[in-house]
Amino acid sequence: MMKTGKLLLIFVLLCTTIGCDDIIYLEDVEIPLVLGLDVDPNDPDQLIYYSSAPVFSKDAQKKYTVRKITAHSLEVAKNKIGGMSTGFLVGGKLQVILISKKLLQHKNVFPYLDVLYRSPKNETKALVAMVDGSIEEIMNADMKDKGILGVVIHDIIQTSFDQGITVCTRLLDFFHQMIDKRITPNLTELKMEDGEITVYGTALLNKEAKYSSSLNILESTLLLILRKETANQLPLSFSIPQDHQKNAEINLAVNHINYDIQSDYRDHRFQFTMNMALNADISERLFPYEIKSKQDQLERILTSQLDQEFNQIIHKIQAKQLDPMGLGVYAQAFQYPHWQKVKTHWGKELSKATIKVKPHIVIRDFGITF
Amino acid sequence: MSKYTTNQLTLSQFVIFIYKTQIGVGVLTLPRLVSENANRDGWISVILGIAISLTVSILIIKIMEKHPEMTLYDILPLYFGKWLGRFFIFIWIAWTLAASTTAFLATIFITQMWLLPKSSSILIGALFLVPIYLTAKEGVRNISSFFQFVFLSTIWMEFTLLYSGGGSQILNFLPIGADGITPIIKGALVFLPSCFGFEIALFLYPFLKNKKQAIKGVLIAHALTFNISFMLIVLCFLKYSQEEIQLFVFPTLNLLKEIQLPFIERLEIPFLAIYLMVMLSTAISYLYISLFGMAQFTQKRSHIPFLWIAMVFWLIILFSVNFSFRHLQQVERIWQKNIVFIPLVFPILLLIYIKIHHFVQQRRHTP
Repeated sequence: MMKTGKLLLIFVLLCTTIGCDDIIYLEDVEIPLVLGLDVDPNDPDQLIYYSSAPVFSKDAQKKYTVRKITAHSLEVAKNKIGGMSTGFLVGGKLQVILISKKLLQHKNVFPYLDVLYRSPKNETKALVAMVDGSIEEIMNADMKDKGILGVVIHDIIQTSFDQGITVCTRLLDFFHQMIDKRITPNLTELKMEDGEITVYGTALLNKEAKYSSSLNILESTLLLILRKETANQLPLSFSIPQDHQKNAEINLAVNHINYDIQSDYRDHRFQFTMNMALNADISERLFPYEIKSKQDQLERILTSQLDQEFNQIIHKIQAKQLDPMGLGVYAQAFQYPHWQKVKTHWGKELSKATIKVKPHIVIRDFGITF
Repeated sequence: MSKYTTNQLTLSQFVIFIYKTQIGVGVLTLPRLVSENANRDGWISVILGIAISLTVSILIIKIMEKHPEMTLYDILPLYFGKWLGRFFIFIWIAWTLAASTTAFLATIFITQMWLLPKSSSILIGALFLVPIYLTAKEGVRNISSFFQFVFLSTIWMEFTLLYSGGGSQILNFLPIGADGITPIIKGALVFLPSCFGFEIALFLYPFLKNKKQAIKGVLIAHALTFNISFMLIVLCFLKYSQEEIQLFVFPTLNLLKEIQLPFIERLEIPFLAIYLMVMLSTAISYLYISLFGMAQFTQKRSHIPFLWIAMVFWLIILFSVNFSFRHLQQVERIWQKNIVFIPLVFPILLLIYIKIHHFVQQRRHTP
């Protein structure tokens, strides 16, 4: 009798409490993969939100649906979209967040993303990217031969990062870069070119999450090197002055970098010296060169070129009072008393600092032909 | 013969009983609490905190060695007489019941927040009461067998956490001790409630089969607790800046959010669902000690009637209080400031009292 009662109780519990009250049927939800934020040309207080969600219905012609909503905040937009979609909106599968350059120039977007960090149901591994141009164009891009928009953009950014031509900022990382005083935020920069979504480089933002400057693909690689994000092979491209040759290009793939970063505080300024030994392979050479006998000479030429390039990018970053490299980490760790005084305006302080980058290229391998 | 010989514990059961009482809900908020107080030096606080906890645990074993066949509930009337003894027993019953209730309610709150936001807390609580009833109605040995099962089935979680290690910044730990010693001590005090559970030894000691292994058992339990707390703090501090950790309510779960596996997104959801067992273990352990005390207090043989009363009491709380984050914060604050003294200071005072008592008696017998 006791046993029957227990079994009955288990049966009743199993039947009545599956998923409790949080059951979600896939047919009833809309799962946006892309979220886009753009300025509203008519009303400066409002934003235009775009969302793109896959459609599971067999009868639908297009694989995904794009929605456009004008609203004051993301939560309001979500409710409005709820009014026109076939089901509830679920943020748990978000892949990409696109923010237009215009919006970043005018507004601090960080507060607008608050809802994504607040609800535990949202996916915070979505990639954040800045779009130079209109979001609408990207949302309505022709994806006939590619697939679902969210997956495509996500893969484009991820591949570009793996190839070392842009940064990869997830929502989590963006939060980190905004909150941490030792670094300034930076996003992948996308552009529509001839109907193709293309990675253009890296957008640098200041601490107010406003657009400040851009780095192209080549400079982005240098930024990754400065940030020690060297898990992937990084490409470096040089053109070497040669007598008779017009396109004297040489491309390297950097495999491994040994860093020695030193910090100091002298004459009321921070001093940073970054020594790095880059182990590189030659991946392409467009001019004849006696590599067997003149390897040292080649390394010297490449090193001095790289040195110049680093100086240019550092100069550019300092002029904008930014710190996408995260040098603040070293300032805090090794110059703590001085750091304490300047941590609220670190970008400004860093623009006064002396930053010396001393690269040293070592060619490890030049492939299977000389 | 003692009345506890029928329900003996092996060393591993003893260790896991203590360990499962120590590790619970606190683990989820631990990095934030320590960071708020000790900043970068939180890891030193953990070492300090575990040292304090271990010292008190060894003192507890020293007390219990004098009366190897008695629990604290038997010892108290022996030294303090009937009425004062009963008063202290009452305090311990209240403390363990409060600890158990907190663990239970916090588990519900976290489940509701992360897993089932639309479900009512009463429904979740009622479901939790099923395993609680099934385990707490048993004796010490069966409960501890259940904890062994929980331990073995959740041991993978620690290793999973290591997956979040990518992109960590070791310089986050520097400079060491730049803000002085006070924050470190504050951090250690905040960390101590996460070690609570060691006081269970006051009640488990007579059940232990081989009494000589008691100190070893306490050491192992603390090593396990230290291992998980220290690892969590280090992983969180490596990954996040101090400003960030202090913005996360449950930094441990944020750490899990970082893990990116090709076949699963949002790993924290299944993780938390399985971790429920660990969180409920704490509630079960404290609840049993409390019920055990109530049975002794009223000189009843079985503690099951009290189990029903406690369960009804919890359901009434769930019905009457609309649990919100503010309550969690309040409890957190009470835990940190006031209740620290019961498991921590009481054993020390008791040991001093016992020493004086023995000394006085010796003087009396040898004129």
